[in-house]
Amino acid sequence: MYGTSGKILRVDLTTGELRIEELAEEFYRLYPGGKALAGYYLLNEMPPNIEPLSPENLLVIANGLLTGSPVATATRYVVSARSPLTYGYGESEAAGFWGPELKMAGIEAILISGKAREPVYLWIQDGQAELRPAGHLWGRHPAEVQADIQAELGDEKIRVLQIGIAGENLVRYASITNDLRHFNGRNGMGAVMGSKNLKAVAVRGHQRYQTMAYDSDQLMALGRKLSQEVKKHPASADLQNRGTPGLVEALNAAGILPTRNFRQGAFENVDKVKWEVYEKELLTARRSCYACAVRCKREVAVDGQVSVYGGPEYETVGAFGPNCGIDDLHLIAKANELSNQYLLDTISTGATIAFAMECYEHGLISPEDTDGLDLRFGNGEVLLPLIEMIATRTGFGNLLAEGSKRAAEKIGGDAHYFAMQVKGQELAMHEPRGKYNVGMGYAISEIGADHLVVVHDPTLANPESLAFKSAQSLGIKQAQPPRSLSAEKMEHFYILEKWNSFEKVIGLCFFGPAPRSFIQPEDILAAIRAVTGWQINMEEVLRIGERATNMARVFNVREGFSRKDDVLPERLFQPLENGVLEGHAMPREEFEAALTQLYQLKGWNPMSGHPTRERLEELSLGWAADKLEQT
Amino acid sequence: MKLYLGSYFAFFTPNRRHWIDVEISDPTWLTDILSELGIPAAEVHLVVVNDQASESTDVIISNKDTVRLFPPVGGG
Repeated sequence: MYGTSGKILRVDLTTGELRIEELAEEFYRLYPGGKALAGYYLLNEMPPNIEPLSPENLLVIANGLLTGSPVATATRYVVSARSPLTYGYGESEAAGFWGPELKMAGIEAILISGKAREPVYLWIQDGQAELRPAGHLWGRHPAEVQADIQAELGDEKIRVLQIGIAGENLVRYASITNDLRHFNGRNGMGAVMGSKNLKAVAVRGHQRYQTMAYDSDQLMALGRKLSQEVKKHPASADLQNRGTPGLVEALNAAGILPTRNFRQGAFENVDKVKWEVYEKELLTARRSCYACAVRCKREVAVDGQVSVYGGPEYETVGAFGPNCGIDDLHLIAKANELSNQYLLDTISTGATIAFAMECYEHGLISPEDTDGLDLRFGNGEVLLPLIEMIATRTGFGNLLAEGSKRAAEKIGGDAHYFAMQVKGQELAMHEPRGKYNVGMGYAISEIGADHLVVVHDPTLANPESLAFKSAQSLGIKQAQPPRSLSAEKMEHFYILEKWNSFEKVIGLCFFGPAPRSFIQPEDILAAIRAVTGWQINMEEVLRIGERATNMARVFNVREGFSRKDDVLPERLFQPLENGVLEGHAMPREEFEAALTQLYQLKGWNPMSGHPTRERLEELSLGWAADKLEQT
Repeated sequence: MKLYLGSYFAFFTPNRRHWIDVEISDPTWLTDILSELGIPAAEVHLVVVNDQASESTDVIISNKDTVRLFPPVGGG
């Protein structure tokens, strides 16, 4: 088999046993990495109804087929388990350098079961693995842990994936970092690692990707060509120049900058948190992921010191800034650093604090509940103390560490109305009332609200744009307005979701391939052919994506999820309070009709949202249909 | 008129400037102004004319207007 070692490392933390298995090519072609391998193993090796923070949970870390290849943006790996935040299929991707390093170490995926008696870390080098004690690393911050592991193993090029104090304390939205600057943020995967007493996974590999490829000359030529094309593309140049924090101003102008817990779509002090301020007062360097020409990562100085934990992304600026009514970019950068030191998901952390602020303003909680903190919107003084209290589960922080859904249940009254979450996971910083596909993605996503289910609507609104043209070979026929849920738009949603899912399978970032249009779909197919020798076409590619989505859905159905869980927070069906979209609400009946149509397109029962046996068998998932019938 | 070029539209001006002054004697279609400046109208997603938003560059602009242009913005 070309393009992969096909090797899976199994780790039983209870017994300490390590074992390597090899995948067959026919299997790998159906499940070529990432989200697909995660879905397969979670469904096949874990019974339903296990407690996410118990030894019974299975943690899967998997590279994509193209991860580590010389194709720009192919750097991602997935971490997956039953989520302690949603209690459904859990998944979070990260980019950076760790995934490529694992590939060079000759391992495609790691399956971690059980629980270690004492804290341990996993050390993988060139196909060999061992568990090592990590008691001396527990309770310490990532920069120290990484330096200690590298010193202990005598190689500063070792890449370290790790959890922080929030993961050790089982905060339900604890994150994982690699190289200190890249994050598997969502779904609480850090808490799953913490529950297993697994502090870190250190990796070093010396293989070269080219040596694994079917046609290495063609792959290298393609890689060089794509790198050049990415550099020339104006939208890519903008990501290189400003990165995601550059989004703030345009979203505000469009009335879709989530502000004060999604009550508003525009922030009156946006000028204090926009890119020009970021660049002038915080920025120290621009950085990249492995061999990626987009180079969208920022580095900043906090309190005059360069932060080793990277600069805040747009999501973080939005979550700690406008969504909490806070306009101090220095404070936001500090909150980002503190969250990344403790390893909390910055989206869920900011969104849960915004939820608490709104409960406070409505008198549902008082200073007696909040340890005296004055949680009014805009009061920046509470931000850093709250992050610390959440990560250490201290006082009021212990309640917020449960996430907004569970906190709302405990607070009672109307608090649930202020919890901006789907399936227990907080909304990312994107306002669905101005882009309806994003709302549909929040609702239907297997992992709870997330912004990476389909490309955002404005990208495909103009038929003459580069983005629209690049999406045509995926099967996108007509440009559609952002505030529409038409039948044709749902047909596009169905295609775009399969494509995004496929990207999560093979390890591609969304900031490159179509519809972003820096990289054309045909070039991705050519890359897979050069890597594997497979004669793959667009139909097979979209089927791979759809197969992965369906496994995640079957997992959730087994856990009791159904159409009743594919919903949006009630607030989104109410009008926005300000901005250019003031008065706009998500149309409820159209939304429900569109959801029904989408289920039908997906071959799912329109009443229950459960996949039908017929569709599962078309996707070579007859075994998953059997599992559904057993439950 | 004052023209703000959001995001990468600034790359189409010398020195990557975001704010530029454009002299127009009579009210003119924005599409035509952009065409002269070499800014691809197909990539414009949001047009804000004196704080009024629209999604089309087919608007008539006069010399006292302030116009802001943004490309589509997605996830991050």
